[in-house]
Amino acid sequence: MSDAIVVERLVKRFPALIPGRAARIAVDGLDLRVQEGRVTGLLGPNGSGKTTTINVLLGLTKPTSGRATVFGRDVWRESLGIRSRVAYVPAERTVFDWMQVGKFIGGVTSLSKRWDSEYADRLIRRWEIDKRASMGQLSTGARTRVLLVAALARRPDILLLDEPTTGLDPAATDDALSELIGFAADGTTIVLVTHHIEVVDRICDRVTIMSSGHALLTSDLEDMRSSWAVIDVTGPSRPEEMHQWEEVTSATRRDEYTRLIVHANPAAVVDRLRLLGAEIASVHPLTLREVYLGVTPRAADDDLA
Amino acid sequence: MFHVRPDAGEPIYTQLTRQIRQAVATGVLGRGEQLPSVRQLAADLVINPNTVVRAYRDLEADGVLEGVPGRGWFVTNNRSPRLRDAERKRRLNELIEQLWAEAVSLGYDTEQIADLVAEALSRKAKTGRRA
Repeated sequence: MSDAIVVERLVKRFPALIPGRAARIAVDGLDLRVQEGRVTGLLGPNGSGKTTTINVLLGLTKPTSGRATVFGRDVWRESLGIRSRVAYVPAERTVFDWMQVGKFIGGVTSLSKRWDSEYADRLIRRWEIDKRASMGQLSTGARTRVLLVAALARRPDILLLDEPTTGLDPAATDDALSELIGFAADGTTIVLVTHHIEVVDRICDRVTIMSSGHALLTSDLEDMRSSWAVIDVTGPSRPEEMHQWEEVTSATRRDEYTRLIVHANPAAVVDRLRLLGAEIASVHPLTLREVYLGVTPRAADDDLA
Repeated sequence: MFHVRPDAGEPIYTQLTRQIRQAVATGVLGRGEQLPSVRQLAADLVINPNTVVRAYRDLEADGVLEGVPGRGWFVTNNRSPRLRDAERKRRLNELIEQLWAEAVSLGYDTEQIADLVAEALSRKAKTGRRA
């Protein structure tokens, strides 16, 4: 499968707002590949560079160094050609507050060559969107739905979605996700940025976890579910040393044990640990939440919804 | 009809293949019966379509389902054919993997597990029962 998006050694540095202070490095050597026709989840703590990365892909912010391409085109030099094939749902929901819903959607229509008005009308009816209201009058959930309609009815080749379920109740979330699944079934490439780990768990088939502006890991989700494991070890153990092992993604000391996250061949790791005199407290398969919390140093449970 | 849990620590496609197999085995899905389309089942379960494709293809390799281009997926009509060798081996390896993980959390090491399994199998051979 070919790559729809390729990001290589991307760096984005924002100059310091206050003279004398250090510049802020939002993206710090990011490598990322998004395969065509797949649904890729981008997870990471706040400030890990996810939204800046999306802005670079949309040609809205210029990379400091490194390279990013969409369908082989440079995102900065050829951003106009790219934007016609990429639809975007921004995390920021208040930017169009002054606009009437109908006018907002009308504006998007006029910019899109492939606008599917029949489909847009169907979604507007099903999601009970009032076209005469102004965006600022809508609830967060209703705004999310308007932005989804505006992105989906463009029938794009790539959907970049930044928190596309904000403000939606569980039933409405499932309804919106089912809509996205239809696009995935048609081969649309989808990149989903979110804190809702269970959304990634459900509809993505790839995941990239970011921290401090770079990718900590990228994996096929079904592979993760079948071959990753958590091994809790008590007794003499040196996390720093285990961390060097090829199969070990992370090794962190907890109160009474050391927790290893292993991405391949847990049997071999257990044998090696026993040889070192460690006690195996438990071995169990991993959930995405555990992988996420295990590999992101600064992530806390309350960071996730 | 089907239900999956992404956070169950098991690939979604194996959760799905197990349930479809059960449905076929118990007759809930009859011979020749059509399954939901990939798009429909993925949307109903709110899971990735590629996951459904993977489950259906696996079951096709098993001889449980049959994909008919342009028409969809059906429960095979003939008596389930002998599983392909590679497929049988894959399923056995899955079971071994599960056994291993449980045994390790009970405190056995790989060598002990191998010994106990060999012992149990030789008992079976002696009593003449088929494994």
